[in-house]
Amino acid sequence: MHSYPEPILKLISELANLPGIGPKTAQRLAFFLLSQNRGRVAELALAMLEAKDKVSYCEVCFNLAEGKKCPLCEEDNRRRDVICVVQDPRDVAAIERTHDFKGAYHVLHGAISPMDGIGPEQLRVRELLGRLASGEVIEVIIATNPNIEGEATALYLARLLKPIGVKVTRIAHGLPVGGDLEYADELTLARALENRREM
Amino acid sequence: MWVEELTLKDYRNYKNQRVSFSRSLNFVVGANGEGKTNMLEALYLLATTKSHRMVSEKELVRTNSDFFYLSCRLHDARVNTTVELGYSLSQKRKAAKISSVPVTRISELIGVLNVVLFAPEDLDLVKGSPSGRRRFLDVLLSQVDKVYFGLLQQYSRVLAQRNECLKAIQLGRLKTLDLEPWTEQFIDLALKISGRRHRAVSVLREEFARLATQINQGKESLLVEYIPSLVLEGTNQATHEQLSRLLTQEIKRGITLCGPHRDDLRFSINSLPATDYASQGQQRTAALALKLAELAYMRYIRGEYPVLLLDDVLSELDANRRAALIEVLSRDVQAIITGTELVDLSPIHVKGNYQVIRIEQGKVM
Repeated sequence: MHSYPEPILKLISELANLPGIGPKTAQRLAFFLLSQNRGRVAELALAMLEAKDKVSYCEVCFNLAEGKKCPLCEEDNRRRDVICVVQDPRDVAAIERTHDFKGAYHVLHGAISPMDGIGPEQLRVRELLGRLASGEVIEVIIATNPNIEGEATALYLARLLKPIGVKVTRIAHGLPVGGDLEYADELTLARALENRREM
Repeated sequence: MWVEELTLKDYRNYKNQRVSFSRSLNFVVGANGEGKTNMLEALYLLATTKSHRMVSEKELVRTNSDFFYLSCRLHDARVNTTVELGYSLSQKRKAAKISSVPVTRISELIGVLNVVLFAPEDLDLVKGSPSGRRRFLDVLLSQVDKVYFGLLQQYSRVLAQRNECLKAIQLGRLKTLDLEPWTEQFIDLALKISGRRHRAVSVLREEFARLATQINQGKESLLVEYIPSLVLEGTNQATHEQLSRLLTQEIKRGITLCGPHRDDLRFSINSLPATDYASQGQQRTAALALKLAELAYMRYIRGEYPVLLLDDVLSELDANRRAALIEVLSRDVQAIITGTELVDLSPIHVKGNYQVIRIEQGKVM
């Protein structure tokens, strides 16, 4: 690798810094880029810069936006009195794919994790409280991830929001739809039993 | 349950060896350092995915090799299963298959092959550190209860986060209220884990007391009980209150001061704590009775005996202790026993049906 010219080494090391890309993949990507014509490479570089320059966070819900508000906050026929709280803009996209939720979102940009130095201050919690101040919102649905950190974030928010008088709900844990009970992992199954509901 | 065949490739001092076992008694005989313990370790690894000698995987790979591979064929009352486990040094990765189907998580292997291992280190179980006794319970319960292993993993994560939170509160970076979400999850998991351990020990202790009395011929009464650091019978509210009393101290030290990671298994001899009073002989009796009670417990839960692995402990046991062992071995248990020489187990020898496996430098002779 040390025999490569300096610019290639730089490109490889930049690529290797990207998440999910190790030294070998970085090297393969660098050589792929070199083999392309200049226009193709420029297009990629431009796309990266453009995304960085033009995409920001929605000033209302902190979803990704091109401009001040995200497309969902611009939509007219959405309910504003129900807010679904998620960790990441990708979670907004995931819930949108269900076409079942017609309320507003709030993106926290992470979950509470003392090990990583992330507390409520590092998340968009204060902004969420700001949105609830008007009293227009009647329900907050907490859709953080069903892991330790997501659960801690949900518990934290529930404790914070309930005194305001807003209804706080948590999305259900349980079995994947269309799956077989016998193939479910034991912990999920135990959790599903624990959170069973009366019919 | 019994293991019919074990294959070891580039594992410790084994280059490529296949070993067949009889379904009752197997004596693995060889001089020190020839690979007897390594063979038992391989079976323990297939059962629990970890070495009982608590070494990292890279130390298990034979010198100058890149990977090790283990496989065993086992039978239980209903099915025949093949369990395979490999580790690559260059990829720093384990991979496993159950009956030729690759598993997505290595932990899926735990519980397929059930073993009880009795090694010389276990003679320290009574007087050793509490962590050794907790590990005994964790290995036992993980093998019979899939949920238990998942709970343990979640618990260690919550514990680490809660401790970080306590440190951050100590430094003024977080508020006491920020601890609440961690405490809530901590209590939920802690009560589930300690509760399961408590229930297991309450079953196990009867068999333990019976075996101990048999070994010491009724001379003294040996008991074992689970000592949880949290109140188990109470409500979540009671546990919350117990924790809030510790809060100041927890913040000061930056660690969680109670929970399954602080629980213990306590032995007593005629009502006196064994940690202070047990003689060498009494410790041996307790350790042996505990291991045999473990065997009975696993049979109680799974409906079948696990494979009993005895590593070089026969020569450490006197006549009474051997007699207790022989009683168990005369049941439908597969045992793989190592020693530097064939130990006289006359009552079982007479029954015949045992196999001798001689080992020299990682090879079956």
